[in-house]
Amino acid sequence: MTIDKKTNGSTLCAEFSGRLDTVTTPEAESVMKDGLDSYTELKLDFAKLDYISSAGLRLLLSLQKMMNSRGGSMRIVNANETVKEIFEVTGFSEIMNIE
Amino acid sequence: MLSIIAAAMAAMLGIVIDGIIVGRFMGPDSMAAYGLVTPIVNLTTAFAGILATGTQVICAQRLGAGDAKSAKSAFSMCMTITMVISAILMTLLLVFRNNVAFMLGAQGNSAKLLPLASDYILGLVPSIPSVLLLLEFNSLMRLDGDANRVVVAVSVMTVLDAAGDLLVVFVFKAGMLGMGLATSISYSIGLIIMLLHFTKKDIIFKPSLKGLKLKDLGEILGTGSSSAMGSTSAMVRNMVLNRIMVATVLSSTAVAALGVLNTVVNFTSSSMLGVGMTAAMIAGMILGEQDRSAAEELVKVTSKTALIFGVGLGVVVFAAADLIAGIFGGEKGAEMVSLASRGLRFYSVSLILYGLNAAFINYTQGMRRMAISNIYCLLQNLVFIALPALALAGVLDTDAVWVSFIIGESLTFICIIILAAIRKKGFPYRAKDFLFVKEPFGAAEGEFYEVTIGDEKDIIPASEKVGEFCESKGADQKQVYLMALFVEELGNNTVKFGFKGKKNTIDIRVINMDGDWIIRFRDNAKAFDPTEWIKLHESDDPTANLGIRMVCRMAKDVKYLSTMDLNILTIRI
Repeated sequence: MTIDKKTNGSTLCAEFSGRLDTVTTPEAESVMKDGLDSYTELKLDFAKLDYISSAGLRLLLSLQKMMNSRGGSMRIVNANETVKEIFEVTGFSEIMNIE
Repeated sequence: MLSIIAAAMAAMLGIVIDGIIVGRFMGPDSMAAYGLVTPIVNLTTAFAGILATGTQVICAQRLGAGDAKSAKSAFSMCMTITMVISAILMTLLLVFRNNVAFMLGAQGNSAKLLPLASDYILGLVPSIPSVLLLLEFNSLMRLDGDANRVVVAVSVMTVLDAAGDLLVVFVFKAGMLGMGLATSISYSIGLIIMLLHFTKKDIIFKPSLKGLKLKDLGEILGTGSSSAMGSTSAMVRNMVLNRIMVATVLSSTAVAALGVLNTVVNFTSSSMLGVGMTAAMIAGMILGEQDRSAAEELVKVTSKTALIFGVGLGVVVFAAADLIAGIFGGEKGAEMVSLASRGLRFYSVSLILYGLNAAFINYTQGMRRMAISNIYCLLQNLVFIALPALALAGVLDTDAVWVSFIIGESLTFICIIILAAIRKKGFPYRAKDFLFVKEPFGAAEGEFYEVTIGDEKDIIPASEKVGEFCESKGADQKQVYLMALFVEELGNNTVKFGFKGKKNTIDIRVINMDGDWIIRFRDNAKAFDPTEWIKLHESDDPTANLGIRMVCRMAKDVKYLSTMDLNILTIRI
């Protein structure tokens, strides 16, 4: 799992590649939360994300809570069809902004 | 396996205790009468065996294929027919007990045994429903996770029977009728303990008159027929051997000595039956899952266990022959004890191969190879013992009977090797040469994938490997994703919440069948049904139970069953 972070003013764009599973999520969490409070908008680009499990979903919840608590926002873009289906089945498509 | 051995002995234990006390305190004539009645016990066990084995194999196979409903209906049919058979047997034995005793050999030189044998039959009649149900409940309680109840029931029964028999001899002086009644009462109390199982919640098998199918009866009888073959063959064998002994110079003494041997045969075969019945049950599940590698493993483990048991028992019986025979003989029985001891030594040698042969018969029965199972049962229990005994009786007198046990097991074993050689078209020496499955069976090598998780760190590698395997076999992107996801989610849940500190594992098998991808999880962790859990927690926080939600909502079909202390989850994508 690699995360490529790019900033654009107050927006942080994080491009995920690989798998977000039980093993890779703790490190991903550490990378994402480092300096996150400097941004008001978080964009997660899942174009190269192959796989997300419940561990990854809990990370997304955690990031959303952090952004919400500071009045910020989070959105997810370019997820593949199967990942989108995961979001629907788990109800995440209702509580997150998925484009 | 202990509970299966305990229950298999349950049907015999009361009779064995009777034999010891009769032989010790009631004299050689009563012991001979007891010996003559043994075929009746074989007959009752025959019916119990057909129903117990047939129902057990069918229920295990249907559970293995994920069909709990039809397994339950087979169980209910078994209970119904048991009641019918009990009523018929009890009535016939009650009304015709004198005729039965005569037919069993209480005639000619042994006519004086008729009233004793008839009284014993009368006393045993009330035990018939209990004997039938005890054997049936045993196997099914193993499938329903209540195996230890059988051990408790048998222990209580044994103590009560021994105490009852001693009361009959020393207090009530009620003769052979009292001996039979004491056995009947103790069996009935054992049955009550078993029936308490049905007060438990969350059991698979509960008897019901709804939804009974005659087709189930046909399958039960067909599948269990090997067991009937065994008990019926043993019954005929005992009658033949009793007749040979009646005709010898020592007559009733020889019959009494054979009675001692038969009691020990029943006892040792019951303990060996534990291996065989376990093999039959597991074979039934393997057949339902079409798992070839599991079948090979079963053959290896069963053969090794059966051989060790057989040799061990043989050594014990040989070394303790005098002691064992002495238990059955009182002051007046010195000649009987000496003859029985000699017989036990010959018999002990046959035990080396007995376990292997019996395990083979039970295994083929579990694999529904009924013709093979029935024929070998007949050969082992009757043909290869009775014919040599008859042929040698004129030359060897009572020794003809003793030596026939060794000849019988040796010939049976040789015939198993010959059959395997014919199928293989070469000399059989590997486990796979003894599978005796109907082809096509299971998936070809390379068409399925198996992995075991023993620890948290095994989960992600297993998940990745499963995904890679499915991709290599042409699964689309979504299927690959879901297979890997289910391994991760279910693996994590089981390890985190179900591993109990002892050696727990999750065995995963992936196969493509009829165009669907099937993944089977089998673990020995804490019992947990995810399909029930998700129903109960549907209205909880939607971000909770994510793993189970994904599995249950994204799979085509999810089936759960709990059997033999295993969780088995079969998922179809």
